[in-house]
Formats: sequence, structure tokens, C-alpha cells
Amino acid sequence: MSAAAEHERDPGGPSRASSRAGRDSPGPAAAQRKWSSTVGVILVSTLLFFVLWQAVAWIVGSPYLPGPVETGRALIDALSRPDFLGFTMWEHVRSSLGRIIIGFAAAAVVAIPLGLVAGWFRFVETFASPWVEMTRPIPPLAWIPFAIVFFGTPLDAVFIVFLASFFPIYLNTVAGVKSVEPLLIDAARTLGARKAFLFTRVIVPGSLAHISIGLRLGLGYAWMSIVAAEILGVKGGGLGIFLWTMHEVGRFDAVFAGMVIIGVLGMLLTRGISFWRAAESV
Amino acid sequence: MDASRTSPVASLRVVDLTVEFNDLIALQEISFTVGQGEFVAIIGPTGCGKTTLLRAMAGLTGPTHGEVWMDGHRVVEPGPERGMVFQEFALFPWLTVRQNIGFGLDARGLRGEARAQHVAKYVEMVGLRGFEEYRPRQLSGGMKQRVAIARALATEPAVVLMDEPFGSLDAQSRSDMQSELLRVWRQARPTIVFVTHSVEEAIFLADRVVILSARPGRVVAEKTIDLPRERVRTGADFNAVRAEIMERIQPGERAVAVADPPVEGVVG
Repeated sequence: MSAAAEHERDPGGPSRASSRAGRDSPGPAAAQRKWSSTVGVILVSTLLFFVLWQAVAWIVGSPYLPGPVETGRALIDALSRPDFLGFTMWEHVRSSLGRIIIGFAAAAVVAIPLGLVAGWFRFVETFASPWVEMTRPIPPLAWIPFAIVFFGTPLDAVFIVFLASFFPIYLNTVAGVKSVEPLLIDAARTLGARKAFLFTRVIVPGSLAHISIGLRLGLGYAWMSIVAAEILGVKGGGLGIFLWTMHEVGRFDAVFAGMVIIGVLGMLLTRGISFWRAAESV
Repeated sequence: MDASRTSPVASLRVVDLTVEFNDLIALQEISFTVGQGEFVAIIGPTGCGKTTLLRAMAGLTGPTHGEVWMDGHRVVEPGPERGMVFQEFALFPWLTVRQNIGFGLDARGLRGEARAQHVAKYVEMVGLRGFEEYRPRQLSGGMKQRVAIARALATEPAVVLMDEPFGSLDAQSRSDMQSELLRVWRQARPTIVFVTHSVEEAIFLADRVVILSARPGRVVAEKTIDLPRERVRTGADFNAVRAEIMERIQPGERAVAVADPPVEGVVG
């Protein structure tokens, strides 16, 4: 998680608009042809992926590397009945998502007001900067040993998610306040806006685009951190626990099935985020 | 008619105003007054500190020396009695036309029916009916400028400071907006200080023109425009005034300025 990644560029830039226009410019027939050839390439590529996977699994012949067929069988098995711990896959997913939502929401609730105030009052930003600079370079996962003993299940995983999503939200909110055009602040002042009015009616709405970027990044980081947090700490249900338990009993087909589920959910989350972004830029 | 409107009561007084930015002297010992209800244009070459002068009058930029007085009070910060129209419009992009125009009313705590009527009045005045729910990015430059003018007027300020508001408009919208502005001025009767680099625009609009020199900006001359309104840009008297002002700005280039009357007298 580098500082650069936490400052995603504003999505509504001109390059995006021009690339969209460029995609629309060929006629509908040409677009149709282009689309069907794209689908063809994707199908072939996907097929090749599974073939290669199967081939490598055969050649290696390791019990730790199941092929796609075994993984598929384990996937159906994992989705159709509870595992030997007594949890259904739905319960694992629900536990993980619940932790993500709580940790992410807590991060947003703390980071947005703090970022707004720090962006507006230089003193607050300066005061907070050593705290931020000292804690931010510590990977969230490095907090796990502390979190396990200090918080215990399931708050330890929530805490890790909180840490993972806090910094992108905070830093982007600060950047958002600073991005508000000084001219708009001047205009508001000549219209009689005093401090509180200026803050709520110009600074906050003027920062929303950046805050939303911070939230999207924060959600992505939350997802990245949850599995590791669960593997290392949490007891009970959860996708990370499913993976780790299956690893411990040597069910590597089930481990791979769990990875597939995590990948699919992550993809859905990313899709959801890109819909969010698209809805915003309309 | 013009003389009677120019009340002897001074509304704004700029006294020995000097503004320096680091080593740069933007304005040097500027002094002039603006009467209540008067329309004063400030012209001068690009970079002569016209915008700085207007910002100092608004209370957005502090003077290095000297002061700005309004109705006997020293200007130290912006206030709703001095509205400003910015060159770059400065509309709030997340607000609709109606919300932009109502912004100053909200800041003053005006609510409900009174606010709605007030906004509707100014929407009407600048000819934006039917566009109330549009956002700034959906509007043309001319329409954005109308919103900015309505927004500045809606709080009914005693003084409206306008910074080259029509600078980015094409010739046709520009001349339309000038006539509109005069109509609005006759209705609401605010004091207007209008910065421009177009001599023609200054003569068309103003009761009086204050001419600034190039950097550092100083007052070179003041000229009262005694032509009856609505002024005709191609009229002989109009051109005579234009020639006189051009002579003040660029001594010796008078002949060029008069030779080509339909072209805007743009300086710098």
C-alpha cells in the first residue's frame, strides 16, 4: 500500500472522456464485430487457462496442487453442504463481509470528519501528521499479533480492516479539502458566508469527489486484508478460517475452492465499485 | 438623467491604496471615489492590477498601504454589501442555477417563501427562467455569467464589483450581456465598479471611466462619459470619446484607434 496508490487520480478527467468518445466513434456494425471478436479472444484465453492449469497439475502430480476438475468438485461440495466445522459457505461469506462492513464503516466514520477538519485547519493537520506518518508505514497485518490478544475474535479482524481502510479515506479527504478552488471560497465569502456556513456548504461538498475516491480505495484494501486477518487470528466462521482449516487437514482441493470463491467475490466487489464510479461520473 | 443619478454621496472611497506581492508592486497609491448608484468602469492594460484593485475593494486582498472605505466603514473583509462577479464565474458546480443564486440568501438565513420569491425575481431578471434546475456545466459561458450576476445581485448589495465579466464571451453575447446589465442596473440601481480592458465596453456602460497605467497600476486619468443612453457604438460622439481615452492610454496612437471604429478598443 504505497502513498501513491492511496491518491488515485480524479476519475472525471478529460482523458477518460476522450477515450470514451474514441470507443464510440466507429459505426455500430464495426463495434459489433469488435465486440464479438473480443468475446472470442476471452473465451479462448479462459479455456487455455484451465487446460494449462490441468496440465501443470498432472505434470507436477502434487497433492498440494489440485487441478480444475478436483477444485470444481470441491467447490460444489463446499457450496452444497456445511464443512466439518459445521459452517456453510454462506456463513463463512457472511462472517467475512460483516467484519469488512463494520471495520470499513468505522474507518469512514472516523476518517472523514478527521480528514475534513485536518484539511481545513493547518494546525490539526500538522498535529496529526506525526501520528499518521508513524502508524501508516506499518502494514495492517503487522498489527495482527497485537490485535489477537488485545481484541480477540471477531474484533481483531474488524480492527485490521479498520486500519487497512482508514488511511486512504483520511488522506483523500484531506486532499479533497485542499482541492476546493480558492476562487469558490472567495465567491462564498463575498456572498456573506461565514466560517461554519463556508465549511458545510462549500468545503464539504467540494471535497466529496475525493472522499468518494478514498472510500473506494478503502473498501478495496479492506477486502485485501480480511482473509489474512482471519487466517492469522479469528476463530469461528470466515473465508480465511475456511482456507486455513482446509489447509490444516490437507484438503487442498477445498483450499482452491475457497480461493475461487474469494476471487469471485472480490471481482463482484470491484464491479460494484466501478458501477459506483460510473454512476458518479454521470 | 445621468447626472441626477450620480449622487454626490460617495459609496466607495479608495485612498492611497498600494498593494505589493513580495517584490512586485501591483498597485501604487491609487485614489478615487465611486458615488452611490454610479457605474464606474476601470480600464487599463493587462497586468495593471485591475483584478487586485477589485479584490482589495471586495476585502479579499489586504492593502500594503492605504485603505478602502465603504459608507464610512473601513473594508477589512468581504461582506454581503459588496457583491462580486468573477472573471471565471466561480459558480458552485454541485449546485443548480436556483441554488447558486440562492447561496447568498442562505448565508443570510433567508428561508421559505421569501427566499423562493427572491430567487425567482433574479432568475427572471437575468432571463434564466426554465433553466433553474440546470447545473453550471450544462450552461454556455453567457448563461453562466448570467447566473454569476444574478447570484451577486440576489443579496441586494449596495455595490457590485465586476471583474471582466464578459471577457470570455463571443462578440454577440458580449454585446447582449452589456445591454442586459444596463437594464438590470436600471432596475436594481446598485453601485457598479466594472473592470474591463475594452475601451468600447467601458464607454458603452459607464458613467465614468478610471484609467490605470501598466505595472505598477496607477490612476492616469478619470473621464466622465456624458453620452445619453442607450449609446450607439458607431456614433460620432462615441468615437470622439474613444479617441480621447485611447490618447490617454497610448499617446500618439490616436490615429490608429479612430481609423477603425467597429473594432473593439482593446488595450494591451
